[in-house]
Amino acid sequence: MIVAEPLAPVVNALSRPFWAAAGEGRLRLPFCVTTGTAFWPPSPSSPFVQSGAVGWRDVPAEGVLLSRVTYRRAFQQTFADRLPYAVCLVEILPGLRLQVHLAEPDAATAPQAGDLVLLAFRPVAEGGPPVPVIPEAVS
Amino acid sequence: MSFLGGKTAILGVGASRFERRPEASVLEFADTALNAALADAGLEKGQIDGLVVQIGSPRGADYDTIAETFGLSPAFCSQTWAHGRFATTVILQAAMAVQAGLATRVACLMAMKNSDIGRIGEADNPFFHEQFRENGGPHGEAGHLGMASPIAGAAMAFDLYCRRYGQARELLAAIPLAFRAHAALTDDAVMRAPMSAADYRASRPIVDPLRLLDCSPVGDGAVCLIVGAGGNGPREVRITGAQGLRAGRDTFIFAPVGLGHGQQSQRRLTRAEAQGQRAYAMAGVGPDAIDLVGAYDSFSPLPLYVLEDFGFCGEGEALTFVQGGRIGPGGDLPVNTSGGQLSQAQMNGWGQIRELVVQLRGEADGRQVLHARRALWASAGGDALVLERG
Repeated sequence: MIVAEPLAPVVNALSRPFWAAAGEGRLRLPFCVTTGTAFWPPSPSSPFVQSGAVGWRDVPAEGVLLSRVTYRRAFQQTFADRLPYAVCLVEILPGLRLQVHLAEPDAATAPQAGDLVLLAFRPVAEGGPPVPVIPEAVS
Repeated sequence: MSFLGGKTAILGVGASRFERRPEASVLEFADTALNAALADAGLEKGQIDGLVVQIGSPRGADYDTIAETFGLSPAFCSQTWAHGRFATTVILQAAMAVQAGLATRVACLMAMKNSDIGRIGEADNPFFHEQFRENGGPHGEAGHLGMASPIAGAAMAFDLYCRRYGQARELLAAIPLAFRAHAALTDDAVMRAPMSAADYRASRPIVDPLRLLDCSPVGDGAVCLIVGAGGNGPREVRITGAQGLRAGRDTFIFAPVGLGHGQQSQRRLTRAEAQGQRAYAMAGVGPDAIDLVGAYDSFSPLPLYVLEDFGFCGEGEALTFVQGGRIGPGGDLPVNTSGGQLSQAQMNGWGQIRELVVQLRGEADGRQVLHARRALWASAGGDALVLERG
């Protein structure tokens, strides 16, 4: 049995800058103030240096698609009638990778590994917050 | 030699049967495994003074319930979380307790029942909320993106692996086929029906690139090991090398070190690093001295990463290495000789450790590996044991 469930990510003081920007269609990432290097996931101190301060900055919402997995079976009720869909690993900056949603992986125009992809922020569930997605190609 | 090296031994092993029994209590599985291990070790339950439990309630039973229910009186107790990655850690806690003088004979117990809860990843499963864990689920889940269930992280890492090394995805068939061939020789394996390459190719896609036959069947059962001081005779199996679970930005539970998944670097272990892992160094051996392997295999790609990260072959070579029957019955390096989690039972790796003990004693009947003297158990997460005949 699959029962309906909420699909909300954890949003709190630590992660709110990312989600607030996502709501405005921007990709905003934490970075280490000492080294200037962006990182993921959010941390209150830099993962690269000890007790390093963290800032946030906007980066272009694009990257290289490294890998994609295509769901042929749903584990969440919300996605039961949206099969197939895919989740992709996208390299935004060297060594910084985000998972993003792809709605139509079997389409002829769907991006493949190695492609440069532009990201958008859209709800993938009814009433859900905007999350990073690869939007359908406009033909 | 380290303080563990050879001075601590597995004195007895026992298991329940592994069929799904939704009407049963998980305590019944635990009771069967515990009593079988005690009988195997020639011990009375009053001689058990330590208890380390891998999975607590609700999927398993907590240490206090187990001790009270079974009339044990351990003075050293511990327990780990409910996933499979802590088999070695449980055994090492027991070994360290013995060596530190905190206990003399420790029952290490993994008992779980999945048949009356939803599938992992679904909302009626106790682990459902892990996909929304802050900063990502334990297997790379991101429920808000539809990235649900542990299989997806395993699929993504394998996709990345095949792309990085230019390997053909279909070569993966060799893993489930080899383990099924081992299971055919194993009385208590849940999945014993012959599997052909055609069966594998025709099995239902779940999350591309993985199929149903790449997944271990989650079931019910228990395995118990009794750990104590060595020197108790020829049937004991000594722990001569060990290392704990790895974590950090360069680690993903379903990938080798440095694959480039998630936030991992792309720096894989060198061959020298792989062949000099701590467990080998502690045992004073390398992969050439290993006669058989137990490799954590909740999904079929995972043993590939064990073979590479523990130096049996180089990076990107494991899909080639496992072809041609090398890891199957009678092969040069038998892996998961009782069928592994893919075919014997998904017992969080414990079934494989039990099997290595049975093999090293020479008690594996029709599937006995000839001259089995030394075995490695390891997971892609980095934990490992080197076990040797007493």
